[in-house]
Amino acid sequence: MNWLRVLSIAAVVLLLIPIAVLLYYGLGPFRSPAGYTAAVFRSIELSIVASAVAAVFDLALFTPVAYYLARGNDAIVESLIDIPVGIPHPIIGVALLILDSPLTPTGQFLLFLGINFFNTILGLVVALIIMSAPIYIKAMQPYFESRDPSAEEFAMGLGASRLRTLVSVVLPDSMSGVISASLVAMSRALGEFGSISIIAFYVLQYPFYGVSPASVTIFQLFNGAIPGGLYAAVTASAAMILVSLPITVVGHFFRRWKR
Amino acid sequence: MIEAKIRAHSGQFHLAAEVNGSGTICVAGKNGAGKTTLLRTMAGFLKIDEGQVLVRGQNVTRLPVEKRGIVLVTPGSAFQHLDVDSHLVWGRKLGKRIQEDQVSKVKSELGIDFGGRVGKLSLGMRERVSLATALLAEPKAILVDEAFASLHNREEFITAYARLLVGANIDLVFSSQEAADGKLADILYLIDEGVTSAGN
Repeated sequence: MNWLRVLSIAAVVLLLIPIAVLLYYGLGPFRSPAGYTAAVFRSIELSIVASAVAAVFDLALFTPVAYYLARGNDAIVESLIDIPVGIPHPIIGVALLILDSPLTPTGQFLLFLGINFFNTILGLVVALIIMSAPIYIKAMQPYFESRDPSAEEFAMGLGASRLRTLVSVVLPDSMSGVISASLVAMSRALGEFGSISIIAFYVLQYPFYGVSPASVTIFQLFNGAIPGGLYAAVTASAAMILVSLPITVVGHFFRRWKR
Repeated sequence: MIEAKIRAHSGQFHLAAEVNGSGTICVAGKNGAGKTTLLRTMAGFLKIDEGQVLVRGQNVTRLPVEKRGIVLVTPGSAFQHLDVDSHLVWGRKLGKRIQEDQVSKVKSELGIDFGGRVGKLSLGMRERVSLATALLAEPKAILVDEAFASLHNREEFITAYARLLVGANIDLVFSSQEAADGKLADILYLIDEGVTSAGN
């Protein structure tokens, strides 16, 4: 008997019990049509779109950072990345609010440029980028670190800069890692609640006018936004799990599928 | 002309080496003698504690890897996702104009009569492609660490390669476990426990 294996599986099952119970009740005994109305699906749609956009920005902006950390050895930048993860998420929401408030010079400047975070898709996406980018970097960095650096060193010897090497040598060879890390970051963004419940409780913009992100909608239902809201919240939660699970699974699949 | 006089360390390993000369230089020593550390230090991947590296009279000691004009070729030096022809000119394209006749000359002299994706080639074929890529980029020097090891007709290849490099005025330093490989080179250095000595 491999006790380590038994112990590990038992511990993971412990993690999953609440989710399994929720799925059972949400789709079974507590199933409530109020949990899968058009409005609920609309908010899941908003969450998926905003999270996917955030993941694309993570990929574009933070792949170089992950590579820099993998090949650099910059303890300062590495610890700076942990800051957004380490503080309570609602604080990020408040921070974005202050950054973009008409009461502060930064906010006046941003508003002058037409940049508004409060209850906009932009604000939602920015909050999701801040919350998911560290996850993206932490997924990408070990992937780059595990690469044999010989080809990169060869490229640099031939005269290519680090950035050039990243773009034309490392990235074409790292698609599975990039896709996997993006999907992991996207699932993280889908699950975000704290920051977006402050900065973008709902969105007042086309094409999602009046729509709240899924986590906020579930919270509202739970808080009794409608009669029988608890059942609706459980059902909507189950629907949300069914939507986000495949993203996590596919992300995992890509991680295993080495080059 | 390469003139390297360096002290460096990698972990607990200490290097006190000297490599001087033009043409083809062989650095021979057994496993763990410091060949890789020496070549990596010359290429700029390891910090020099003391000393300097000169190529064609230029002091490159403080220059970053990509500015040195020194290419390090190892068995892993291949861009797996490229096909052979785009691989061959990859380094060349970074700064110089591609000359088709030169590419075909190098291909025929080095026995690159195959194509396809580099990642799908055998190790020996990949090494040929990497070495030809380095040559076509026309750096000041090419350092070859173990990358001759898996070649068919190894001695023949090294001789042909060295001849092409002489024509382009590129110095070659290659590592070997066998001092007998000194016969393929103009100059032989022996290395043991990080210390070099003249071999012939």
